[in-house]
This record gives sequence, structure tokens and C-alpha cells, in this order.
Amino acid sequence: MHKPVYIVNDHILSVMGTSTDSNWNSVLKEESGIALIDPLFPSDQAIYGSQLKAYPVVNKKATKLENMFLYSIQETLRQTSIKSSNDRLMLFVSTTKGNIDGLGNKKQQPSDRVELHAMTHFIQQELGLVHTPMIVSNACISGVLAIQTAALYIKHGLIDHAIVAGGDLFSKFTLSGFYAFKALSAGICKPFDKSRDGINLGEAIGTVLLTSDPAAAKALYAVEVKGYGSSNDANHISGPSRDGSGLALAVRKAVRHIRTEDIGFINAHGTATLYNDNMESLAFQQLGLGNVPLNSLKAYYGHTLGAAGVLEVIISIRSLLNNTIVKSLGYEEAGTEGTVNVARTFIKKEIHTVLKTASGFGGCNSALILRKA
Amino acid sequence: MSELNIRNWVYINDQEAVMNDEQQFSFKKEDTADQKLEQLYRSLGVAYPKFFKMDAQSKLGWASAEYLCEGGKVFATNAPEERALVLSNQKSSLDTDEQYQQSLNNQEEFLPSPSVFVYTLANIVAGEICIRHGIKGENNFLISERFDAEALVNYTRILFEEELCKQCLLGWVEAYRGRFKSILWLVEKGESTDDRLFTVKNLNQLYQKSEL
Amino acid sequence: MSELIANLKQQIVQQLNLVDIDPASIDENAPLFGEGLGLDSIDALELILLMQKNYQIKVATAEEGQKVFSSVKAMADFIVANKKA
Repeated sequence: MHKPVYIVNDHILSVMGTSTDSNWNSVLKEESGIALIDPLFPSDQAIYGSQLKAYPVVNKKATKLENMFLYSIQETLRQTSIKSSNDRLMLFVSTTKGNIDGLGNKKQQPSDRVELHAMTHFIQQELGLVHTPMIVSNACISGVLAIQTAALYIKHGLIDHAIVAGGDLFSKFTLSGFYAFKALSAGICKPFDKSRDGINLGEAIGTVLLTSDPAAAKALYAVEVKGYGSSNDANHISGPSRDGSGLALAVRKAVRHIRTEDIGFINAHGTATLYNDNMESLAFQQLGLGNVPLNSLKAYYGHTLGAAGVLEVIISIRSLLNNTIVKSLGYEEAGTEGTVNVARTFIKKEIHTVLKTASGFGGCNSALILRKA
Repeated sequence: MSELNIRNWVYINDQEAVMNDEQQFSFKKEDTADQKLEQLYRSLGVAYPKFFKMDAQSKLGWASAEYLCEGGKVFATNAPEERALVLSNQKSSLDTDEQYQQSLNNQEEFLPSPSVFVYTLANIVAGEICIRHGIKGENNFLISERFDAEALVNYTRILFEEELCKQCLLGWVEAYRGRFKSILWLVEKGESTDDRLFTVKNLNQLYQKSEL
Repeated sequence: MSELIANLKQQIVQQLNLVDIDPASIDENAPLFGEGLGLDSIDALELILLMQKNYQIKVATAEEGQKVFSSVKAMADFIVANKKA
């Protein structure tokens, strides 16, 4: 017997605030967390990004990223009746690089916990989680894919509740790599805009709580995970497929059990590189979703890698709960081959279903359908 | 649901490459990992120049999949989007991470390499395998401290039950500081003998065989 | 010029890990991308690195790179034109 799966609580820790409320309010005010930043290396361009200067310290022995995870997970559980000691609760960590800044330390210590399983084990111990956690590390789709994985575990009865926490650091390691790829924007990124010129990197944690039983969890809301799917372009390890066919495969699976007319808006990946946004526009057009209001949150947060999927799902849930489609910041003029309906302003309307997508290095794509219960 | 069975399984460790219990290739002890992987590539007799652009982990995964998929024969009846790939390991891409970090530590000459950086993600090996074999279905990369047959079996079973795939390649791929180890299974629905049933017990037993 | 071209071919093979390609077999007038060597977008970025590392010449954008890296001969011409005295 398959169980329905709901997201019932969440938390965001980012430069925009230490709670989902503060993050949502900043988004509503069209504030961007992206600013000119110390490039951390000799750079011939100005570097923009979002980086946390201060963060809550839960445990003095924890690294920055671990403290961010611990805080966000504790905040997510605090408002519900699910205790971290519940043996039917499982943690899913979404991250690309974990404590990667530890790799640059002159004398690396075991306490740097550079390996993802070491970091996750520490978090598990600190929170007193019983179930062995699962770590999803699948490039930029990690967050969306971790929610899919957790939802499938609950649906098929392996567990009853799941915490999905996604996070990554703003690090010299990752920043220099995107710099080498000539993929960094000269200013605040402009997803789907004609003059878009690359990405900003960002730093954040997003956490969601999933359960099959919202009432027992004393949930504040319930948004059902209605559809999911992932795919691979099988085309190139860094460049997205030109025609969007790979992403379209993931979306087709996600919408298997709904009517596509029901999709109130699309929260796209929208990194603001020339090729990614173009690819997405072609995917949505071929799926007949060209008229559905669409946004990208990258000009608010930058690309927060392992956090991105979870963080963007949380803002999209706020959108559903408040019947407010968020303005796609940075967008002025159409500049993609496929026709898409990018949200130029905040749109107030009755909405119940959102399509969330992500794509990343390795040619991977993923999609989720979330619906207000 | 009809049973899932293991159609093929392959392991490659520092000593040998073995498919379905038969040795395919054995390495010379004194050779470096680079040399071993290049010999393996040559022995497969496939012209794939991109192989030399890959990091060790991707080379290892690519070679393992080359055996497992029998040159693509195993996919005769299914579409690209019906083929899934679920990989795992302990160290993510740490081997290449360390190499890339070295280049960042060079103070005189700050020239990070995009072709090294791109391999600093766990799932790039999955991307390389997907490109080679036209796998366009479900993808996942799981990190665990030890080989976790239960997680792999659970997740793969769900993918079949959800009709998200008709075939799944899954297993463990890791190369780190000159040592390597991969073990991959190709799983599909169908009749099976007991020792080829897709179960946690069988995966663990086969994994034991691959241990040095 | 012929020495520069021979060096460039060596450096390209090394930088791009073109293991089975004999540098001398590369036609300096043939297109580097598309058919032939099977180079891709990451290779283009690596060529930018090669120019910086070996010739201290900056190729600012991938678009500029498309012209500069159209052939080995074009690369050599660009180096000669931009070489600092």
C-alpha cells in the first residue's frame, strides 16, 4: 500500500535571513542577497555572490557548514511533534562539496571532515538521529533529487518521516572552478534575460520535513509531492543538451499523474548562463508549457548548489500557500530560443500546483510536482 | 511484480577485472593506476579518445560499464529513457578534488583547469557512462561510508515498482590515490536462478568476492 | 613560424590529453573544432589556459577563442601578433 507524501515544514538559512519568514519577506521586497565579494583569488573580473558573514553556532566543534546544517534542521523539527530520536525518521543530505574549504587547510585535520560521510555522521550524532542518513551528491540537481528519493522512501513504507537538508559553502574551490569555466556573471545574474552573462554562486541551507501523516506531525501546512523524475542528457558532462530533450524527459515523468493545465507556475533552474536558460526554454516549449508563468530565484540567492533545489522548493511552497508567484528578478527582455512566460512582476492568483526543475553538470536533470493538499 | 534478476555483474579492483565470475583482465602489480587503466582500455579494443580526458574514477566506471553492457547489446529491447543508473562510493570525487586543490595552492601561477574542475563532482562518472551507453533515465549518486547493498537494493526496487525504469545499472565506483575498486550490476525483470536474484544478500556476497 | 607551429601542436596534444594523436599529423590549416580532433567546449577553455601559461597571452572570452582557435595556424598568427616584446 503506497502512502501519500507531504512536505509539512521547512527552514532557510541564507544571507537573506535565519528563518523562512525572513527569507520570504526579503524576496517579497525584491531584495537580492548577492553583492560584490572578495574573490578569494587573483581575478580579472569583479566577483558577485552571496556569502554568510555570520552564522548561528550550535556547536563549537562543528565547521561552518555543519553549524548551518544543525541550526536549520533543529529549527525545522522544533515547530513539529517529530523528535530527532524517532526511529522512523531519516535524514537525507544534499550537498555537492560539503566541508570543501577544509581541503585547503595547510594541515588537514580529521575534524575538517572533508569527506561527505564524515560530515553527515557528525550531524547525525549531534542531532541524535537513529536511522543511518543518506547522502545524495548529484551536482546541481542534488536537492530536488534528494526530495524525490526521500519521498519514494516514505511512499514505499521504508520510513515514515524524512528531513531533507541541502547545503554548500561559498568556497574558493567552487568559485575558481566556475571562474575557469568563464561562467561567472559580471554583476547580479539575469536569468532568462537577453543580456544574461553567467551565474553567481551563493551559500545557504534549505531544509524540508516530509511525512506521510501531517496530522501526527502537527504540521503547519501540507504540500503533497505529486510527481518526480530524473534523467540524463547523455550528451556532454558540462554543457546542457542544446534542445532541452533531456530535461523534458524528467518533466514528463513528474507530470505523469497530473494534468499539465493544473501547473500554476514553473520554478526553473535558471542559472543565467546562455546555454542553461536557452535549453530550459526549449524544454518547456516542447512540453506545451510555454505560457505557464515561470521564475528563477537565482538573482535573489545565487546558485547555492546542494541547497538550491531545497531552498527553491521552499520559496515555491510559500508561493503556493500565499497564492503569489514570485517575480523573476533580473529579467527584462526575452532572450531565449524557446518562448517562455517569465514572471516580470509578482503575480497574485489562485495557484495549487508548481513544477520545480533542476539541471546540472554530468548532464543530469530532475523535476518535481508539488500540490497544496 | 515479477522478480528482479542480475543479468551481468562486473568488478574491477587493483588486481583484475572480472565479469560474471570469469576473469577478463589481470593487472601487473608493479604498474601504476594510470597504466592499469590504460591497459584495460586498450584490451577492450574500443576507440574512445575521450577516455584519456577522464579522471581515474571516470575511466574506471567507463571500463566497468563497457564489460557490463556488452558493447550495448544488453539494451536491445529498451529505450534510452528506460535505463537507470544508480552509483555510490565513499569519497565522492576526493581524488580529483585533491588534484584540483593543488592547482589552487600554486601562488605564482593561478590557472585552475576547467577540465580538472569538471571532474570534482561525484556524478561525473555517471555522466560519462550515460554518454557512452545512451542512458537517459533515472540518475542518482549516493555517498556512504561503506558499501551499502541495502540502500542500493531499496532504491532500485522502488525505481522498478514506480515504472521509472526497465533496466538499472548500479553499484560502487571509487578511485583514490592510485587505488581503485568498482563493482557494478545490471538488473532487470525476468526469470532467475537463486544466486542471480537481486537481493541484499546476493549483492553482499558478490561484493565479498571483489574484496582483496 | 614553423617552430612555433610544431611547438603548438605538441602543447595542444599535451594540454588536451590527445594521447593517441601524433602532433606531426595535425594539419595546421584544418579546423581544430568540429570534425578532426573532436574537441569540445572544455577543450576551448583549456586552450585559453595554454595561451596564458605558455605565451602569457589572454584570450578574454569563448567568442574571441572561436576565432583564435580556428586552426593551429590561426593560433600561431595570434601569438605572433600579440607577443609582448
